[in-house]
Amino acid sequence: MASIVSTKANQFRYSTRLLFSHLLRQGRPSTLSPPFSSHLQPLHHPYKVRNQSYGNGSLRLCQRFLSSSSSPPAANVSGEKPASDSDHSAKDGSGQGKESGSGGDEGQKSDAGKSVRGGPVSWLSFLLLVLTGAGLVDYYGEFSFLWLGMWGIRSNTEAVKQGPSVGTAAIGGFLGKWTLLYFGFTHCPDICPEELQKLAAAVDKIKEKAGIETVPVFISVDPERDTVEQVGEYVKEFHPKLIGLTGSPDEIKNVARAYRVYYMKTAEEDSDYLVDHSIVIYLMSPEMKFVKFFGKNNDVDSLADGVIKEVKQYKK
Amino acid sequence: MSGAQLQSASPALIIQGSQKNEGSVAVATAAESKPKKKICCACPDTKRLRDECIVEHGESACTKWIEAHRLCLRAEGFNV
Repeated sequence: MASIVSTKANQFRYSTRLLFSHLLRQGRPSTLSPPFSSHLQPLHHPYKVRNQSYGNGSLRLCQRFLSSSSSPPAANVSGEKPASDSDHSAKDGSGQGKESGSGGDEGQKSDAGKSVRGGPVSWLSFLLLVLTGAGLVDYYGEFSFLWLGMWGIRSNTEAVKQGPSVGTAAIGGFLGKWTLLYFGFTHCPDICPEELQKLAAAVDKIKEKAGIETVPVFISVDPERDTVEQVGEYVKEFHPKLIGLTGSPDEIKNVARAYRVYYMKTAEEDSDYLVDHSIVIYLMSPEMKFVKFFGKNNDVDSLADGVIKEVKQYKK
Repeated sequence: MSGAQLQSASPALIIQGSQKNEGSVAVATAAESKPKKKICCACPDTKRLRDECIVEHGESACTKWIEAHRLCLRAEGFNV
């Protein structure tokens, strides 16, 4: 397993180099399929900017990313805060009571609700962006455009402002689905594969037990090594429905902060570093809101049963 | 528990073998000096406390747990 991953990493590192140089020469992604390019014209703009000046372009794009992500969801967040807060408290209270029966934990859950509300970065804004990217991938059934999907996030955010139809179409294709998120990295020796296998098995079990469809999503916390191709090949090994996402170091940092996922590279000299990161699986509602997290201690059955319970409670 | 230990031991052997086969002296030296336990499975108690704290309160409110886990990792031989 590990040696195979290592071999594939070398191959994809080489192919990525070729791909990147090819894109630089051509000036635009010639590999884009016609439907993709015709439907998402705004995609070209960020790409050109990135080509012209990589360093400065990256900084500008990040700034745009932050500014655009904050304004559109603001209205939704302010409008829906009371409802989501009460839902959050109720669910966490009941769930925690059944699991541990500890009053202290319930208190912590209440604090969690408050801190989520008051966080500097809105969960909803980044969740919207990430799921937009995931929606793009899901809509076109392509894994090889994952990185472009991340760029598409910015394009769609702008499209939401300028042309609501395009943004709505892309987002609409993904709304209404329950999502299970996991943060890991493809060079992870063993815990990530175990957690992803658990996630994949739970997705099948949830459908078998309750007929509920859930979308598993893997987000890399190792942007330096996890390219689009690397992540695409990695997720295929676990579940055909598993969607893999990666991005630039700044994008990954923002997403991890928004989802409260901790990650840190070990200080190794060579490229064989490890990434110490949180091991949690998030359950997100069809409205792209945080519902519950499951830790490493949950096995497939408890994860599946926990998700089913939350989904049924949510609909009531 | 014994099953888990066996599972954790096997990947370590594979990884070390792979690294040695790819073979520069530096890599081999690095492989030999690295701790046998995986960083993801080391210090499970402090790791769980840190992860759950960060999920519920955010990273800025959990520096105590982050540092506790880091100290534990260093004690295990990781370069963090």
